[in-house]
Amino acid sequence: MNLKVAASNAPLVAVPKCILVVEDEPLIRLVICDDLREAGFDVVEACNADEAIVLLAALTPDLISSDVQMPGSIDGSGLLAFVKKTYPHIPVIIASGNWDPTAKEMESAARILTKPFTADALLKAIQEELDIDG
Amino acid sequence: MTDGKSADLAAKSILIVDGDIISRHAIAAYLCDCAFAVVEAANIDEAKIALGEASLNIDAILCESSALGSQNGFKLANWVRINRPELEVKLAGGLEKAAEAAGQLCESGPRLARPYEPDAVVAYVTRLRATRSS
Repeated sequence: MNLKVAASNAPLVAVPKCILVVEDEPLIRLVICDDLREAGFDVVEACNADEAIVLLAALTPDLISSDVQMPGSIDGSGLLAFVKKTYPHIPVIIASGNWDPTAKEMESAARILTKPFTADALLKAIQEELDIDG
Repeated sequence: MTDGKSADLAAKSILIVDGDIISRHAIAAYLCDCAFAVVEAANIDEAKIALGEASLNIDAILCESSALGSQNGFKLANWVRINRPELEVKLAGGLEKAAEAAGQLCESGPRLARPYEPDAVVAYVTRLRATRSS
């Protein structure tokens, strides 16, 4: 697993966009965050949806990438609904291995990535959502 | 409180263990500014998973124990002493102590971007918490 610091790599984005990564599996979260930092993003991480909601009250990320099945008072579906209601301007990319979204969730999520997905797939989805040239 | 060796290590990767997402985020962001690669863990179980991942090459641990329960902080320190005795564990009880410990790490870290002021981290966390509650 590569843990290079973002500053040591040529960023893909001139002005860093902030990505909130919500993932309860620490090693998956670490890989995602590391890859996004390497790509030049500011990354804020939360280990579940409850932590994400606490952060959202204090910070405004440009995009949220979230798992669905997570421990806590709400899961990724609940977080998606909360964000669409409270921060509708923030796109949410849902990354899940086993999720059967409702039509409303399909509409609410900016993208749905099926696990396992590659770092490149997530990066590409984020760049497209934020209209960043890769 | 520092458990173990002196603070003058030239660590590259720091594992932050803190159950409070706001303070964990703030300290992680500051250590990133000091060019550390930062691994975040919300609890002892996540910390053990990260420490068990050999490819991570974690150099030191900063554990803010008040949000975890002080006994959990000591449990982690004992676990590290047995399983990863080469690692320094900084046990900090409370945000102020954790900010001070992060300052010590930054002083000896890869890059001291600016004079480290633990008070600035505490003020940042206080501001975020105020934003959250307003």
